[in-house]
Amino acid sequence: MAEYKGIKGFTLQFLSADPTANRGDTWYNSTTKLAKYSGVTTAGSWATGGNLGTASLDGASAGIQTASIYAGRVTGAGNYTNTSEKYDGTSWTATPGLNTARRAGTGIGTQGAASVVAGQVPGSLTAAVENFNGSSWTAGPSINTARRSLGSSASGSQTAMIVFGGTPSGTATESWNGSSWTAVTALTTSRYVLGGAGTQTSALAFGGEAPPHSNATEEWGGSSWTNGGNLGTARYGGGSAGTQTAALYMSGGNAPIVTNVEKYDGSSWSAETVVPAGASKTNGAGTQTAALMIGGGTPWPATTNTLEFTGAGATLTKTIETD
Amino acid sequence: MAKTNQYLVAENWGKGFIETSESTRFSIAGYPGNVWKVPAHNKQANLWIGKVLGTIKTKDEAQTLVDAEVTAAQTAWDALSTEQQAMNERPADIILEE
Repeated sequence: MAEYKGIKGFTLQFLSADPTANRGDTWYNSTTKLAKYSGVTTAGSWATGGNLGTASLDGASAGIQTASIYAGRVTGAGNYTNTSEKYDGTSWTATPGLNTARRAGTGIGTQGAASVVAGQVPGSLTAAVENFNGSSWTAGPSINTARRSLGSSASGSQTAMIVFGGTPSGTATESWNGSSWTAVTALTTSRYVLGGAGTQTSALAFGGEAPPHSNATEEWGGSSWTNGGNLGTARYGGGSAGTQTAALYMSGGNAPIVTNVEKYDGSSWSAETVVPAGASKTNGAGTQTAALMIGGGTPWPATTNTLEFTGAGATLTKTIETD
Repeated sequence: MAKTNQYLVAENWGKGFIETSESTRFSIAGYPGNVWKVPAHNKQANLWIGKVLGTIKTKDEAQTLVDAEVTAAQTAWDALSTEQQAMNERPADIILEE
């Protein structure tokens, strides 16, 4: 019988615990008595993340898969809250609340330097902007047009971001340069509860409710919007992640909720692996290949679910099965 | 005809409930009421059911659980203020497949 060394040119490692493996490594775990290898995923995949401390939907989120923040959301049966939680890749912990309780704002930036812009407050809309410094939220200059369910350049920063769409403003786009908000060229397609990705000078707006549900995608080049490829499934309220040329739109819709996930390559959307549990008014964070889908309604009121997406090509430890 | 899917009830405890290594091997679909659908007659799916201590349900039993959750959600939505209702569509019925 041929030996492994004879076939591959090296011996199979005999270890008592799984190592921190590099792609292509193989070993035998003497504790579990399983042969394993470090392979590569060939398709996107989902895993559950730590549950939110409070079931929520329609909040504002920012950050990456392993360091995100989620604030200003609906909990229970229609409560607007100022509460906030942060995620470390494993679990959520409570963080200081916003100064203004709200829902349906938009989040931009990183976990330690996030902004929450606009939203709905009981009985009215707000234009209020709040900035997080890692320990507390501070009010910043408000946008010019109060609105809710708007999109944003989610990968922007506290000193460079744009917000767009929403209701009732529909197409209004505003840009922040670190000191003031300026109205810039409006979206072509009026919509709200839309997805947003990218930066202040290279953003993406997609989906939303026109009504009806929209599949429109628009690309922001720094001074104007141009049409991009349409979503395969028109919907609103999905979770957004990524950049203008590598975006991800996760689940969404409401009646019914859809589990569709789509990725954008700068010109067209294509289907990705569906989410195991769909949600609407959910939030997103991260990148096209390492994203987070946070809370949402399934259908109503809200869920504590957190889902982690890993794109194709990720290193993954697998067991070598012999039967 | 052999069934295609099997249903179970299991509480999603969060991290580790569904792992990437599992979702790459078989499909997992979640519904209201902690109801999950996985392929029938699938070794990896059955191992996962064991891991999550899932309770197997027939399709009709699962449908009843989902219906109860959706009905409760619809009732909760009906009780919302007009302002709140305007921000969320009324939850739709969900029909499970065989």
